[in-house]
Amino acid sequence: MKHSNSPLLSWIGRRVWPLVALIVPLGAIALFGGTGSIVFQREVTTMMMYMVVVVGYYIFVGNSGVTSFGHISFMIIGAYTAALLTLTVQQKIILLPDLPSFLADVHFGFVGGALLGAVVAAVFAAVIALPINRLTGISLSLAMFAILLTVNVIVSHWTSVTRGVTSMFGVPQSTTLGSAFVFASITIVAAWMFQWTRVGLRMRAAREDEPAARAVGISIPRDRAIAFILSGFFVGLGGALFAQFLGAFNSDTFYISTTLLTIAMLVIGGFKSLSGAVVGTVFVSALDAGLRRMEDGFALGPLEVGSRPGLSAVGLALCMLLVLVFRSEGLTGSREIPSLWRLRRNETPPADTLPAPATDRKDVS
Amino acid sequence: MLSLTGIFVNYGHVAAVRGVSLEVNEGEVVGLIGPNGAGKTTLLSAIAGVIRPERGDIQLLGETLLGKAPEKIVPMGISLVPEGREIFGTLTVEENLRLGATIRRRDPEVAGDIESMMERFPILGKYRGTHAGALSGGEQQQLAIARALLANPKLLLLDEPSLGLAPKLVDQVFDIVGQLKEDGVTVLLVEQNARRTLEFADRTYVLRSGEIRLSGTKKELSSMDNADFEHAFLGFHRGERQGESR
Repeated sequence: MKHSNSPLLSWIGRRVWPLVALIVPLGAIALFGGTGSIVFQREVTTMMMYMVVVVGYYIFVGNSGVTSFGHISFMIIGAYTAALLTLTVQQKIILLPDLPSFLADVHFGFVGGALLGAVVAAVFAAVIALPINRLTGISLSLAMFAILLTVNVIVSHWTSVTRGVTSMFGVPQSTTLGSAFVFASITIVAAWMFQWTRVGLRMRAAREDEPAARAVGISIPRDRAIAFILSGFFVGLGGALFAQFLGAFNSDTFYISTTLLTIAMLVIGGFKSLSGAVVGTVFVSALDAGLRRMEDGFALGPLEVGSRPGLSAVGLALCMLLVLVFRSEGLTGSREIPSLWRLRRNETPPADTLPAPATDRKDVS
Repeated sequence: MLSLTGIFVNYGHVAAVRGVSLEVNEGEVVGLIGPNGAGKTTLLSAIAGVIRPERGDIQLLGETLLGKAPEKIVPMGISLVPEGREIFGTLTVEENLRLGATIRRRDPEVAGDIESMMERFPILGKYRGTHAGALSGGEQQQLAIARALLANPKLLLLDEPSLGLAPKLVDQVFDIVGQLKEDGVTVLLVEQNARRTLEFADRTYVLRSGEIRLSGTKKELSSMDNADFEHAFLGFHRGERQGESR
């Protein structure tokens, strides 16, 4: 490939191209999904919504390097908010007679429900952001898990607003394959742009070397709190889309198994890169859908395989184990898509294509 | 400018620094030398807020630094170039430099300062888009110093900048220190390379086993008897003729 010295071309190569390389194949999957059966369409739509959740989750985890076991609490908040706002006033009189009037008398469309779901989740994230981000490492992971448990308990018992453990139903099923794809793309663009802001840069520095980051004056909790709120917004958006896709759900729909599935997506793809989040979501969604079909029993030539409940869970766990053992940085090696152009010789090696430092790399490339 | 009074630092039951007092005046290059394990890095870490002394006080321009987190001390005007050049290896040279100016939020001069830093250290300009981890040891050291200078510090703390570098690169690093001195930057230089430090520093303190054994201006120390100096540095006499410790 020809060298490029122009700053504009170099900028396109490094900043625009990796984004195009992620979104265009995703668009192709969406188009392909649209031609398939209803079941397949639903599977692809589900994948696109998980994309919103996982990329949103990545915004915090990938940039900070700290895992959170409780991000699904934002999804719960987004889902219930969207449901309460998109149910019609008449439906709410029947389903939720005791709803406070400021919720009972309002009605929003699909986009309004989705965005307000995201905003409410982000507000919740903002409330807990500073205390949570004073913690680091496993303390933060577990504190977030405690938040998830708390949110779940509140949602299960706040019957007048959430219908508790009985289903919330009748939510207009307005999330389509196309709209899910659009929101997934927006989320990916937002995550990519965030990575290149000053806050994103400081977070990557702190992720790599905390003492050195503090020695240049980086205030780690504050930066992490910003990513946390943004992350809460998009995970909440994902929840709002799910609510308007499923139509009916209850307090256990988005809980431990969703937490595990989304963590698996991010870890299997490679949690320190956006490409990892995207690739992981596609890969795990495909695997999960495939295994689910096999759970009902299938025929392999003359061989009849009976029903195998739990196959998808086992398959997912196995896949995660294999990745952790053999490719601890995930399928993408936690690297971004390399620049489109090779940089000039005296600028090699280009930063984006270099492997992570030897200390945290166990795979052999 | 910087004054330490009666600093004690313990690691568990081990006293690493025992009652150290020292003074750095504006525009000075002050050396702090001593053998391995003398407590030099511990002392710098205490100044930079990484560890907290048991007793004593550290003041910058009359304001105490005790109890302040490292990220709060940088804006007060102290930049540390840590031992082992803790640069951000997976980020580019340019990104490392931008991070050096973290505390100068919305300062329109940052971009220009980064450019002039690249002129001052041409190797950084040449490799601006390169992964910092791909630089050689000497280049990384220049990057670490440039990064620290971009915070516009009143006082620069250099922790063993020549450590692990080839002799030629050691010269280069000391050239840079000499240049900083000409530019009027106040420097506290921690080194094991006693001879070179004595050449450069206006004043030098000799630290051994956590205590200051000797201190003086360049003139005082260079006129000193070799054996006496060695005794202060090593704690014992090594016979008549022995080269300076490095």
